[in-house]
Amino acid sequence: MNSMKGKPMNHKKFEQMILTPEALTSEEREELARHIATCESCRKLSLQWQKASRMLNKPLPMAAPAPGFSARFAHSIEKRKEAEQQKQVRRFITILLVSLLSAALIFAVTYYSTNSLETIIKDTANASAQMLFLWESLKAIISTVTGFLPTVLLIPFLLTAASAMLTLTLLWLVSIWKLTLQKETVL
Amino acid sequence: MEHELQQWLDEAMQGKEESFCRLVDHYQNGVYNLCYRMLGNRHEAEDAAQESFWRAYRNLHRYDPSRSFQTWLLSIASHYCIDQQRKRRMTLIAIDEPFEETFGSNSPTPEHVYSNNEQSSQMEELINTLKPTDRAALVLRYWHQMSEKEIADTLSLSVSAVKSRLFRARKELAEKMETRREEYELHERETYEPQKI
Ligand SMILES: [Zn+2]
Repeated sequence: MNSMKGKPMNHKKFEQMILTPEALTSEEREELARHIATCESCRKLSLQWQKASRMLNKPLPMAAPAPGFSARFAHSIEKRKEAEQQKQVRRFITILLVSLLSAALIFAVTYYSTNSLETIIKDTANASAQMLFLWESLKAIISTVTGFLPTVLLIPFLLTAASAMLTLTLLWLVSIWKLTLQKETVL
Repeated sequence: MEHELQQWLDEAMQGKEESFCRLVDHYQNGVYNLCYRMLGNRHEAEDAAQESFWRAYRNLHRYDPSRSFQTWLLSIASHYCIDQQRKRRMTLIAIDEPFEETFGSNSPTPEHVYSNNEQSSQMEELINTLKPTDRAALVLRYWHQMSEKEIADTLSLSVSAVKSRLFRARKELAEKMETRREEYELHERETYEPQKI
């Protein structure tokens, strides 16, 4: 920059002119030529760019794919569609699972903060008994339905059942834990 | 041909897979070339071109028929390749040192690379060092003969952003060009005659 005889701004301008010569007027061309005669670094850049632009402007080979490109594409469509479907199913299951689990958690928390321990244990026992009864009929329903429903549709069904079981287990665990706490304080 | 292409496009937009495959057949070279110039490797270019057509197929309902279909395809391909390049650069930076140590001695010497001795292969090497978006702008300009406006549309940039990227790319390329002493002296003696671009 210092070699520019104290005119760094002009120097920048000439770089611009060297690298985008398509926009130059004839006066600008002359101005550039005069500058290049006196400025070594612009002269170097100009020479380098002339080389580079000669290479870029030569008819450049267009790369072509290996034969059968569109046939390969046609073949891949089915696979890609399948992969996309699976991805959607996975996303759906994840969302469902997360929402079921958070619903179960919210339920458990509100339930515990609003009820006494005796009611909780009684309710949990009742719910478990009902669940056992339901489980039997659930199995019957599943075995008849699996015949003609795709497995994908069974998944939400099974997930709901699983999260109900999970909630119950959770309730039992917390009840037992609370009971032991109570005993300790009594003792 | 124009008429046929339009018909395939209409049919493809109505969901006819076969017609879309015809379009793939017609536009494959342009899309593949862009991917190849962007990624510098046949295998990755094939994957990127296939993926670009798949993305186009999935998003055909978003295609605006007032735009050129070719430009739209090239736009999808360049965005995809720019992403790929960025990802690759990140992993390259992460494994830079062991890579140099293990493979440094086996990497081709400059003589070897240029003994394919097309100047274009030297250009390929140089283009490889550009930032992804600058590279895309340069490829679209010199391989696909696009105007700055078309490049701006394709890369979702403003025209002035394209100008400054092209400027930066040209400057980087120029600065990496080797100049031999005698050429330099010859040039010094010549009166400067600006070239046609
Ligand atoms: Zn200068």
